Amino acid sequence: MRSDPRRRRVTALGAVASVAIAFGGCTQTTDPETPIGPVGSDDALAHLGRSQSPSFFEPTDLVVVGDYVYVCTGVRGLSVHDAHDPTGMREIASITVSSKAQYERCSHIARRGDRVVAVAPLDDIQPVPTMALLDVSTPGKPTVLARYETDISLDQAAIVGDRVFVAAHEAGVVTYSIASDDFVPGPTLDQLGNVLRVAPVGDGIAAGTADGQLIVLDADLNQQQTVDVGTGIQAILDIGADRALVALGSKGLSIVDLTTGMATKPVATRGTALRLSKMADDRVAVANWRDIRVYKVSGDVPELLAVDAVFQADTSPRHLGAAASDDLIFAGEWTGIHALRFRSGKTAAEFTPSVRRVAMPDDGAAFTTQIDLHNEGNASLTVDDTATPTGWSATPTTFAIAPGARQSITLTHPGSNTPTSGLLRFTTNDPDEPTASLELRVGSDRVFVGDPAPDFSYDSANTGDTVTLSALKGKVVVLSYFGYF
Amino acid sequence: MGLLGRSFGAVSNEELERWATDTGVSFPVVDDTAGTYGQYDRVGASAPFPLDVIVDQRGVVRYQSVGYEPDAMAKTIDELLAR
Repeated sequence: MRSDPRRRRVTALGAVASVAIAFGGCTQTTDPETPIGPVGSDDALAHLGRSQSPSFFEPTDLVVVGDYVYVCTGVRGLSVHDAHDPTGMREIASITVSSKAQYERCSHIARRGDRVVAVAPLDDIQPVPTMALLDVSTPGKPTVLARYETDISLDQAAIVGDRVFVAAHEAGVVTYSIASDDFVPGPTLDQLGNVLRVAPVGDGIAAGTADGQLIVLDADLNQQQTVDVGTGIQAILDIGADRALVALGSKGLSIVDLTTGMATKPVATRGTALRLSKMADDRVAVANWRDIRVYKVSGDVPELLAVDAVFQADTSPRHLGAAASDDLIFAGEWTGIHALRFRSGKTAAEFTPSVRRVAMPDDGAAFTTQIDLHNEGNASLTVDDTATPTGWSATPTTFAIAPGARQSITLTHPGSNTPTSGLLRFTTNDPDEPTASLELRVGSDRVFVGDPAPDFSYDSANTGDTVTLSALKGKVVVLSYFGYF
Repeated sequence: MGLLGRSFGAVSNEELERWATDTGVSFPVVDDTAGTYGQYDRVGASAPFPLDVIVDQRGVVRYQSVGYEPDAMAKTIDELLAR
């Protein structure tokens, strides 16, 4: 277990009454008058940093090798980044996969142990499909062992044992032995359709086709199972217990039981699921074109845990890859790679308690109150907007609170002679419940939603019972106050 | 779920019982002699009645509305019972 036991928590302390806002759910509150509300999911992605990379980069696939990230790029071949410090990553080498292209192209990368295979496929500026085999036993100093050119249309590669399996479109799955540190052609299996993807699954591999066939093969290319997942397969990942997670582009994610051949109905990702990478504790990082997401895959269906807010904030489309190592995720966008850290910590932004009482001057004069938000957690809290109830104004309305830091907000009201109430709403970087609301009650000591109901004990006029509200705890009670005329 | 109606002013329990029998209500009807009605916030309400309140299993107010809104009430009750 590498899960982080710390929690994101924000409390707000004011001059009049103490109020806690839980960005991620307080488990207790200092204000006894209002009960604690329900809290949401427990997890978040923190943005650690971005690489100092060449201006145009186009990363398409990444693997983590020790403290280095190997990035297949569209214009600079295989780019190696030093990620000892994820907040200050930098490129230390750029390796040519194929020198036949106008740009140095690389589209897929696979790693097993101290061997890496990078593929430069056939496309409009890369006339000769090429693979490179690298020794990465010293991660900061990779050496090219072999390059292999072919007229077979190579796509994604997977390494199983000392063999490389390559998705080769209409040529099916082609294999090469790398036991001699060179590419030695081995058996192939065609008649599978247009094979786009391969991945190690169990002791063998799974191949994914453009029309949605997931074909499970043993290491000798014997067909074990074929599962129709309905739509083109963008990525395949072994998630243990004889199951695979498949990325289905705009259709989302599906879990396939490789024993029964059953696939779950796809779970939409509100993007385009393109790449999958395994993390600690049954979690998977998903490159979703417009964001990076983390899902838990131990259950029957993928469960969304967190979405990266930095990628979300910018809507320009990106060709993303993702590679994870434990709780670190590296994700590519057009001009660089980003490092993210997954943390277990509440992400439901919520006020607990949900009400703030504000005293009102007797003379109807303007009045102010201040709340201090304290981020007691270890993830950054971003507030993009603060909406005030009618009459109120707030300063500031947009801010970020670093872990452990505080932010004061001054609320001003022009003055009133009648009690009022309204909601102060914060729009936050919480992916699932982005709005946190605090109800402001001015000059009112009345009972509102969230308050304990005033107790009573009355003899019923019609049923012969004595009705005591506090004796009805454990039940939902409807009180209907009516007029009798 | 208990449903409790209340009346106001000088009304005897015998009168209320007759009313309850005439209208066919089966839930307890009581006279709010202690005035809990007045403790609820009714800011913005255009009429005094009916005030509907839903109290959760822990004794906390989860819904209050002046003006009968059966759909909103049913939704609140369903959510509370689903806990």
